[in-house]
Amino acid sequence: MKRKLLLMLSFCLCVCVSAIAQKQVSGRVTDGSGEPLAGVTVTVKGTGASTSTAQDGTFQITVAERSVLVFSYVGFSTREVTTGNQANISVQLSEVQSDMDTLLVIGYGTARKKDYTGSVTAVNSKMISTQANSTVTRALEGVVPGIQVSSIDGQPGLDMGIRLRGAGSASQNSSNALIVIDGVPTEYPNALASINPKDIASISVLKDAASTAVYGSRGANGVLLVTTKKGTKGRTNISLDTRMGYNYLGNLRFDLIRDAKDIYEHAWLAIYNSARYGVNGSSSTDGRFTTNVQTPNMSHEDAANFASAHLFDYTGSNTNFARNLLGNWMLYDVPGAIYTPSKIGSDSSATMSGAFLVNPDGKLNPNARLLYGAGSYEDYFFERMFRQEHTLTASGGSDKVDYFASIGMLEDPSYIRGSKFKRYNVRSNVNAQLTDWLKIGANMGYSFRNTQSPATRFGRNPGTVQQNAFRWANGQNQLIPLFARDQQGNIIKNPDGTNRVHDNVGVSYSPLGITSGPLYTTDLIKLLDNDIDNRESHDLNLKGYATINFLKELSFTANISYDRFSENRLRYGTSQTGVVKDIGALGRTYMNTGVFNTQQLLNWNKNFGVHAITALAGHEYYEWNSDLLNYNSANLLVDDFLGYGNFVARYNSSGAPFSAPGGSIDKTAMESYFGRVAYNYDDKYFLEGSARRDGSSKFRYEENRWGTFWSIGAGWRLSGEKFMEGTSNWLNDLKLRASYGVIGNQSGIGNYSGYQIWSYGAVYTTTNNGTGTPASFTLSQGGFVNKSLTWENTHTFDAGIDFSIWNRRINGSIDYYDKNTVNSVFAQPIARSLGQTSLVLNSATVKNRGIEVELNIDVIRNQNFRWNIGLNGTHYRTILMKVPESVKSAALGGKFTADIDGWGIANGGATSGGQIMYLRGEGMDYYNLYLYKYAGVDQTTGLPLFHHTVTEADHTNGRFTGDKIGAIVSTTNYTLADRYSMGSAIPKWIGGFTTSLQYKNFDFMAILAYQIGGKFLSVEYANHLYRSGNIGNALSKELLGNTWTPENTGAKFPMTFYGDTYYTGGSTHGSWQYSDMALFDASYLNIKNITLGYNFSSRIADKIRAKNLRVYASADNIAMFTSHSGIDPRMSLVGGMEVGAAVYLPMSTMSVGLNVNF
Amino acid sequence: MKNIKTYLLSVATLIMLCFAACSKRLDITPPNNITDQQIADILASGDTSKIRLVFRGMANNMPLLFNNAGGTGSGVADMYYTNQGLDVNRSLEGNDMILGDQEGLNTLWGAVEYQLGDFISPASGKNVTYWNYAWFCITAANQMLEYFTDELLAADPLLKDFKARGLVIRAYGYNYLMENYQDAYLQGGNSKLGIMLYDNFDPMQPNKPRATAEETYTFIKNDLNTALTLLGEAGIGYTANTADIDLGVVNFLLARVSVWTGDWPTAITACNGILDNYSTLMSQEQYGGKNTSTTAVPEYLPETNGFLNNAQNPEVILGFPLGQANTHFTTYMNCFGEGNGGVSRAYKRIDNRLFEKIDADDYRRDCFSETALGNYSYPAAGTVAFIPSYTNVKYAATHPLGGTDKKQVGASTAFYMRASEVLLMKAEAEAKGVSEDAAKTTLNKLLAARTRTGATTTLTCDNYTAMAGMSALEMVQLQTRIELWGEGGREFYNNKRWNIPVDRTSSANHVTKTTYPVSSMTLKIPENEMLYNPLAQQND
Repeated sequence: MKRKLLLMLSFCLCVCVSAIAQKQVSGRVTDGSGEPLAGVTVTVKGTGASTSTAQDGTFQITVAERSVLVFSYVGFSTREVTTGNQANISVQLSEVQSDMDTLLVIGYGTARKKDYTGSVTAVNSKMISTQANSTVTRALEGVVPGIQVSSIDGQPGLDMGIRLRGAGSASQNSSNALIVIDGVPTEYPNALASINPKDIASISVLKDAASTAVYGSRGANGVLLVTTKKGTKGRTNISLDTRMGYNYLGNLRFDLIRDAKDIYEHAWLAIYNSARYGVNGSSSTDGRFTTNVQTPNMSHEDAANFASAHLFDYTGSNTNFARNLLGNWMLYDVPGAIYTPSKIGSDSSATMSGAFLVNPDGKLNPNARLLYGAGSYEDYFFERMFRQEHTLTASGGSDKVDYFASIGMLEDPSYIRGSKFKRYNVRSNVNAQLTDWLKIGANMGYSFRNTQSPATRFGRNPGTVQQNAFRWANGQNQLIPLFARDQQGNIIKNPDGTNRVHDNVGVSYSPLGITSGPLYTTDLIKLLDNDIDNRESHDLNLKGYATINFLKELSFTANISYDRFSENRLRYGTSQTGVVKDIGALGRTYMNTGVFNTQQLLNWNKNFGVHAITALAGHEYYEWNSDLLNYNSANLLVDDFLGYGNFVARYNSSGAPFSAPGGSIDKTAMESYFGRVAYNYDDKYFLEGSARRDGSSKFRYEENRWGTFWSIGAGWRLSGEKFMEGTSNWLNDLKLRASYGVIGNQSGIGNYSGYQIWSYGAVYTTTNNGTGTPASFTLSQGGFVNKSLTWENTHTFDAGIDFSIWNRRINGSIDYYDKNTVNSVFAQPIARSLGQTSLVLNSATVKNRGIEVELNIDVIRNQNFRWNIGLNGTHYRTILMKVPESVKSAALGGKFTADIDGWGIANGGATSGGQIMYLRGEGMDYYNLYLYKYAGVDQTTGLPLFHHTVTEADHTNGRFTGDKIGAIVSTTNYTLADRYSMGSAIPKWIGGFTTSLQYKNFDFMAILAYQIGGKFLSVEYANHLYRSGNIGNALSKELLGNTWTPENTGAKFPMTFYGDTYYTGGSTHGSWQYSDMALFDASYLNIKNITLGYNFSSRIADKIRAKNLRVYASADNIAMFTSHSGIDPRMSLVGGMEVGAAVYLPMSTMSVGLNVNF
Repeated sequence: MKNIKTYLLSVATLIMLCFAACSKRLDITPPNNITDQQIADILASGDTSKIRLVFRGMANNMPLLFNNAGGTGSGVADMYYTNQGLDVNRSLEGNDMILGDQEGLNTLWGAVEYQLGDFISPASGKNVTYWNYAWFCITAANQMLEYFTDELLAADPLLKDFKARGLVIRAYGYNYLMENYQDAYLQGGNSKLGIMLYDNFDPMQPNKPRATAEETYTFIKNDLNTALTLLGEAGIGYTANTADIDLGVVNFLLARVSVWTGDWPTAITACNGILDNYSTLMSQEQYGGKNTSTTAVPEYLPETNGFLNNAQNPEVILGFPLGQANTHFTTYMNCFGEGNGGVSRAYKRIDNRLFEKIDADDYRRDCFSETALGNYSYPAAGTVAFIPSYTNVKYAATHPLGGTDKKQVGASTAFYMRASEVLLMKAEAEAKGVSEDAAKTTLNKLLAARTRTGATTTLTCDNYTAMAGMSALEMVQLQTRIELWGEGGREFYNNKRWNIPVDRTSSANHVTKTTYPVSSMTLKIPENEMLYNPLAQQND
């Protein structure tokens, strides 16, 4: 007994000694490329003791002998390291996006992915900061499965629309993902553009009910949680990140006929066809829809000679000649040519003889000598612009206080003249543990943004207006030079020696007569340089909190935040040229948006044995205020002086796209109660439930105002089961999870639903408009008000599997989801005779169903060489499940038509309501395109054929009597053309591919995004580039040799006739009457980023007293492969018609950079 | 320390309670717009002057619908978004107006209409804008009319004036639909379908089928006759204000509907009522543009042109003053304009066949330049363009009305109804319903007013060269084409009811020499209505 006692005492002593024998371990944590990782949590396994790494990646912690340290960090693999005898440990964490051990930021808290039952994708800071973007939104494309981003233009500094797992509502505008920055929901359109991507620590993308239900009525379309960086304990780390390069227009361009030779030869063919086969020069306009192909007007020889002689003065008549669409632009010297004037005056031209520019064989005269080339606008206006970006951060902390501060600047102009973007930002995040039970903190950010957009119109869609340089470069007759040319083809100089712009008729020389003016009578250089559409924004984000720990497991946190976005917009139209020439116009807009948010959160964490419970109860109040003041004036005295005193017009913008003086005030508020409980049994079984009750001011009536939303989720980590022990040699983790819930959406509800609004106006006359005193008043009632509108409810089911195999070399997730919005706010079409064309009701059911796959593979993982591949992809369908019976049109077999679905948050898109774009029906894809169908070329007339379905009325009127009713026939009579379903605009598969390599000191990263399937209608092609007879416009190169003639019967395009008889091209037969000729496959592959870096050795870094030093070269948006030249399917997620023509394509960037840490 | 902790927790709880459960904060009324509750409060206040202000404000919208922009689409400066543009399109779809001067100008605004392309098929955007404009008027009228209960009218007779305005606009809208969407009443349309008749605004109400043409015209006439009664009771007669709806406007519409439907006595009565108050016609000096300078640098001043300046036009029954008037018509018609009537070469010219029928002693001949006006330098851009022969100078102006800056050309007043058309409608009604002599007597008043100063004899039906051998009705038709050339698309509508097809084949100066039958002048019911009104029946 005594011996036993001694043994026990000895054992206790040993334990005590070992407990006492502790030591301090220090070390440094870096990422795969050797860069220090700040904020990595270092935990001593089994004790709960922890610390985190400083900004330079270093840490210190006291441990017992042979302790196991666990290193975990958002977006990186968790590593366990046994301390052994080392006092200094170097740890490298590999970046894995879907590792089971990843720490996730979720709604109002954090969770380990291993334990979590919801579907969340985390994006780490490196993935964000590697790319050269002015807004973080672009960086998400191809990186997060299920996400789609879109923007109508390539303007830097303005944000994009974000959609997760399809359109969850009946319109794009009510299907936006919710953006939450540092815990606060934001509804400001450019909120993400106001943040320096290098200030972002992580982004969590919440997708399913389990993860989004805590956001209740705003979570149905998914949530993006953006978390900014904070300081970590340790000595101060100073980091400099600087990058410089240039922006340019990449390979995505329209393949136009830009060679003057081709333009002339094509024009010759059009004239030849018109003269020989035309009815009065074109197709007949007497309702017979025919040509004279079968009975030519003249012989081949006569027509060929005619076309050669009248290349420049044929206008449709065989007897009456004048300057034609070629505009007398003669870019060649033709020896021996005789120009006989065919008309005098401003439309004078000449008939050629002696020698022709295009010989009767249809080919350019080989003796012709080119004086200057075509297509000069693109050469001049698509520039390489200098880009620079610098960020300086400092961080550190003690046991009690941590801090993070950053300042940054970005200058990111677009490649197009008249576009600039600058941003200066500062951020400070300080947290202090005042006592063991009280912690406070403040996170403040300020951003100054200055965006100069091409001064086109109020929306971002640049459109077919003269201020849009793309309309000129890609739209006008490519023969017209930017600078005026003399007889020898030399540029004409101004008296001051500068090049003279050809900005009006007759400025350039032509041997034929007066040269035509450019697309608009405008000096485009001056217009782009002097016109202004400038947005100066001051964004202030103030956040503070206090956390009180009490009763051991409980903590209470109070958050208060206020975001203020102040935007001053200046619009100016120069008086020197353009739409307000000689007048000048000024417009100013002052807009303030304030978002107040306060949250009170009560957290409870309890572990007992193998049981762990966490619970959250919270309350949130959210208030959004916006006010806008608008002013405009015109008629200046001093050119380009923007003082108010220089403009005198009242209530008159003289044609400039400026809003009349006025203003608006808006306010909304939400109040919410929510809670969440999560239960973890032995790290194997997980249960979670959350609920939220929201009240919104958007609903006028109490009975519709409050909604309750909830979710339940469960997870099962099979790999933790005993029966799976046999797989432990290859299977590291395997978890099944599923969740279901009902989430809400109020995006489709107006701010003041239920209120009948009245418009109060005035009638002015010239005599009283100057004073603003109305001649009389007007008052009118607004549209119909549906007083019973309420929340949309989305029933969301998600089932997923997370796995990690082969020593965690392969990590992945697969998710299946089914989102069913049962009472979607739906603008159902009604007959116009009822007073309006649609009725908004909670009456549609829209389902989004799909799968997502995410895979990360460490292909090679050793000390000197690491190679990681990330793959992700998603497939989904948006299906209309149910609509009211009254919507179903008998004429369409129970289906109905729908108009263009422009997306406001993607900033623009055509808003032309009433233009049919989709055919919808129950069980059909929601974005099922509905267009006229081009049926090839009529071999007897050369005219386009369109499909038509035979009706009873046809037989009654003697048409298609040989075909059965319901048969599909083709006809040249475009007035009989019918629309047909063209299939879904939504791609079959969307995804991305990332790869990173590290070999010794070199690192390499590539990010690609792709899409397979889907459809994109190019209005540019339909309205312009395929209208083959419009030789006064830019045309697609595809037309060359591919327009129908009796000798070229296999041609894709119809016969080309001189002039644009609007339907002979086949791509359209009237305003918004598009055929599928310009409907293209929306598949694409975009190489978003390639970065090659080099880490200098510590020996070199030490020379500048740096902890590390890295240089890199990076290329963004480096290549875009699409089904057709010049189209960017990312501009639209729903088919493209809303994009319009004359598009502003995204830019590409080449840059070099330097990272240094001190 | 514990006390501090307790204190802080208490404060936190208080904060939580402060922000919680206060649903009142969610009661946010529209901060920027007047709401129905505020209007209801005024109407319930018993304050007569305020109540009148509300009703007057509603009623003031009604005449503006005659001068409308934006009712058919999202823009304003477009031929399809303004009622004036719609009218110009109609004028291009006839015999008497030519667009431009050469082939190859197919991109001009109105080219499809001029070339008589498709403007009637159900899916054509060139069709639905007419439908939308008319329903825009009808809906606005119905929204207002709901508020005028019999009790209110009994309590305040002034409100009868306001209600009358709504009835007139509704009648105007329905008549516009009948002019476009059915065969002319006297050309077989009387036995066909009319329009679905709604007398209240409620998008939730059941769809209605098309009424018959007879029922539709009964509805229209009932609205107009009720309006006449209400205006009479409110003491509104023929007012000097051309921008309001008065007896002149109502009788004008009544006359137009009556000649369309062959109700000759009503037409004559309505016309007489107007003519008693509008006896003075424009003079030669006031009629059309006049060059007050040289040929090389012409100056056409709108101030003296009655078509551009209502102050110089004693005939105007309905028109709008400078600033209030839409000026798109002037833009499309003025050859010196900077828009689609001038610099872009979309000149509006007269068919030589009609021009040659204008008597040498008829000063209306001066509204068209038989020879080319030649090169003109458009001041805004400095562009020079050649103005061809037969171009109208009826609406020519080189300056803005009330200004001297030529770059601001285009400012003008606008008119929609004038007395000469009333004379012509009366003459037609007399030719059909009274006697040829009566018609000629009426017509002679117009011809006398149009006789050139210094002519040896006053023009009459008997000495007007081109009218020799014509019936009185044919005379009316010819004089209508001359007098109303380019105005309100009337030639198109008159061709429809007179069964005159388009046949330009014998014209010397038409660019598109084609034909177009009257049967194709009736538009199909637009796609939207056919798809979503299961009771709607398409035209044959």
